[in-house]
Amino acid sequence: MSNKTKKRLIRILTVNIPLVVLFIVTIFPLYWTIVTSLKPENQIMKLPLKYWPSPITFDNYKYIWNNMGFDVYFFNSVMVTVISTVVCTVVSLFGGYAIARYPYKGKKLTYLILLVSQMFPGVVLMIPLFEIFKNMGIVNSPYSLILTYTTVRIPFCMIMISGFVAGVSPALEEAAQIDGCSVLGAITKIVVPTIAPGLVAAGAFAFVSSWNEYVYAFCFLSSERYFTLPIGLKLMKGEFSVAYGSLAAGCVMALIPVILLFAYIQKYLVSGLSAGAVKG
Amino acid sequence: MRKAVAAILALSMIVGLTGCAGKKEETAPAKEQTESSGEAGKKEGESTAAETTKSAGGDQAPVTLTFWHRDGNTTSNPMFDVIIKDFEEKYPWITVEYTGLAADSYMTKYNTAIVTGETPDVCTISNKDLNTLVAQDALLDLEDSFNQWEEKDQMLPEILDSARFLSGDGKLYMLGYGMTQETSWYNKKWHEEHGIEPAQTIDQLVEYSKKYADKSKGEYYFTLRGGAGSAENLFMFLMSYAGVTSLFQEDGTCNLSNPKIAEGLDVYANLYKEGLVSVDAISNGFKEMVAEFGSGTAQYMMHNSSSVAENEKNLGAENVMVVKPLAGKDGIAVCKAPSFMGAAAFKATKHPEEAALFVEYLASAVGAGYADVTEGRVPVNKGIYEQDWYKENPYYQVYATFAEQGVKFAEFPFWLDGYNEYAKTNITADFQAVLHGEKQAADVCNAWANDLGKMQKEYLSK
Repeated sequence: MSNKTKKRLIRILTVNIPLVVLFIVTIFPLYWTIVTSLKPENQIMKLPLKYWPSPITFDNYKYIWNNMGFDVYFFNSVMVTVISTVVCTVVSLFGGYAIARYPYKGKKLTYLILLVSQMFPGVVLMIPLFEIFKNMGIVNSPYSLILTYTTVRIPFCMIMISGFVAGVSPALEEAAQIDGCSVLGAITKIVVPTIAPGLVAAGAFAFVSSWNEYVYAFCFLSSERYFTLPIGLKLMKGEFSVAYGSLAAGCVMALIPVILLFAYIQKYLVSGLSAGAVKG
Repeated sequence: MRKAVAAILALSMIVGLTGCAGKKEETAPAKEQTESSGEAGKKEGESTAAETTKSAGGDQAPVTLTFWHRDGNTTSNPMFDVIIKDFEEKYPWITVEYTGLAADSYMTKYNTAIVTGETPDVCTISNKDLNTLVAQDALLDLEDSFNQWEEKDQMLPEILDSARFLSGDGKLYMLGYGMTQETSWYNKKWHEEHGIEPAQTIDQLVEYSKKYADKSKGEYYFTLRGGAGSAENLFMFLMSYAGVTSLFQEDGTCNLSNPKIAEGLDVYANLYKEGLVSVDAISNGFKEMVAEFGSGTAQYMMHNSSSVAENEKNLGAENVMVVKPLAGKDGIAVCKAPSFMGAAAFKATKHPEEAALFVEYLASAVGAGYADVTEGRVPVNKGIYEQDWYKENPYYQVYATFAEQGVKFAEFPFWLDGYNEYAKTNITADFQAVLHGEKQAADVCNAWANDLGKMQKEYLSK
C-alpha cells in the first residue's frame, strides 16, 4: 500500500467516517420526525418500520391546523416572537451602545446585575410576574408574553451587543458627526451596519428562545385563542395517549420558521458569534 | 442589511397591527369572559352588549363559564366540543369557554390560578388531586346542588363515598364522570395465531414469556414497565403473587415486608434479567410500553382501560382485547382500586349555580356517557348502563366480571402526603436497581415497607 493510499485511508477512517456518523446521528431525529409526520397515524407503530412513508399523507398537518387550533397558535407565536425580538434587539442596541461608549459610575455593577439576572431560573419569577400582569390587566393576553420575553432577553442581548459596539472605533462615529451626523444618525448609519452580525446573533437568540418558550406561556395564558405553539405541541400528548403523527407535524411546523430564519441569517450569525466571542 | 432590517421592522409592524386588529375582532368572546371568575382585571359592564345575543334562551341573564380540562389532547378536545355544544343547547343562556391543559402540568396551572385568584369556574380533576385542592380551600361544596339533582341516585355510591373520603372533610366537591379500570391488554390476533389463551396467572405469564421471547427478532410476550409510573404495575404483580390484598395492616404496618412479596419481586425482575422482555423495559413509561404493545414487539401488557384509543389505533379494534389482571398461585388477582375522573367548581366562581349545572351535566348519563365511550373510561353513572354503546362494548362486559373472577381491589395510598413523590422517585429507582442486579429484592421491599409503614402510621395518628 502506497503512502498516499495509507494517508487517504487514515483520513477516511479518522475524519470522513466519524463525520458521516455524526451527521447521521444529528440529522436522523429530524428526518424521522418529518417521516412520521407524513405517515397515517395508524401506521406509525407498525412493524417492520418504514423509513419512507408510503402512502405519503398530509392529514396530520391538516388535522392539527384545522382541528387542534394550530392556525391560531402559529399566528400567536409569530406575533409574540417577532414583536418581542424586534423590541428586544432595538432596546439592546441602544443599551449596549450606552454601556460600551459612555463611562459612568457603577458601570461594572450594571454589568454584574445584567449578568446575574440571567442566572435565575425562569420559574422563580412566575408568580410575581403573574401578580404584576394581573394588576396591569394583561394576564391571559399576548402582551404579557411580549413584555416577559422582551425584558427577560434584553440583559443578555445588551451585553452581547455592547461587546460588538466596543469593537467599533469611536473615530468612525466622530468622523460622521463632524460631517453633520447626529448621535442617532451615527448609530444607525455607522454602528448598525458595522455590527450587523452581532445584531443578527442577538436577534436570533431572542427569536429562538421566545419561539420555544413554554413555562411562561402556559402560566400566563388561559384561553386557547392566545395559546402559542409550544403549548399546542404539549396537547399532542395526553395522560394515556400520544398522537405521534400530529406531534411530529406540529414539530415540523414549529421548525419551519426557525430553519428559514437561520438559513437566511447564517452568514451573519457565524461571523457574529465568533466576533462577539473575542471582544468585550 | 438595511433592506433586511427594514423588512423585519415592517413585518413586525404588520404582524403587530394585525394582532391588535385580531384582538379587536375577538371583542365579543373576550368581553363575555368578564362574566367569569377568571377575568378579574376587566370591567364588569363590558359584557352586556356582547352577551345580548345569548339571551334568547329565556329570562336568565347570559352567563359565560370558563372551563379547564386537566388532560387536553387530540381525543378530549373534540370530545368536549361536542359535550359543550350539547350543554349550551340545553341551557341556552350559558356559554362555556373550554381550555384543554397539558396532562403533565395542569396542577401547576391550577395551583398558580388559586394562588393568584384567577381560577376558572369549572375544571376537571382526578380523585388523586381532590385532597390537594380542598386543602387550599379552592373548591365549591356541591352537596346542596347534588341533593337536588335528578340523577343523584344513579351515581355509584362508592364513588361518591370515595370523593367525600378523599376531600378530607367529608364534603362533596367533585362529581365523577368515569373510572379508569386496571386491566391487562392482549393482542387477540397474535394469540389466535398461536392457539393460546392470554395469560391469566403469573405462572402462565412466566411460561409464555420464556416460550415466546425471541431476542434476535426483538419480539416478546410481555412488556414490562420499569420507568415512570412503574410502581402501580409492580405492586399489583407483587400483591397478586403473594396473595396480599391490602398494602397495610390495621395498625399501619406495611405488608411489603412479607417474604412472599420479595419472592414475587425476584420473579418479576427475572423477566428482565433473563432477557424475556425488551432491554428497554427498564426505562419503559406509559408511552414506551404502549408503543411496544402497539408495534407488536410485545403481545401482553398490564395497563388500564384508558389506553383503549391508543391500542385500537395501533393494532385495530378487532385485534385487541382485555382480560382480568394476573392472578397468583391462590387465584387472587390484586389490582389497584379504580381511580376516577370528575368535574369540580372553583369556590371563586361568580356563577355557582351555573357552574354546578355544568358539573352535573358532565356527570350525567348523557355527558359522561359520551366522555366514557370516547376516552375508554368505565361509567360511574348507572344511567349509562342502559345506553346501547355500553351494552355492546366488549371491554365493559369483561370488566363487569372481574369481581366474580377473584379480582381484589386494593387502595394505593394516594392519601399519604408524599406518596406520589416516593413512588415516582424511590420506588422506581429501587426497582430499576433490582432489575440491574445492584440491589436485592428483600432489601428494597423491606425499605419500602419501612418507609410506607412510617407514613401510614403518621397518618393514622393524626
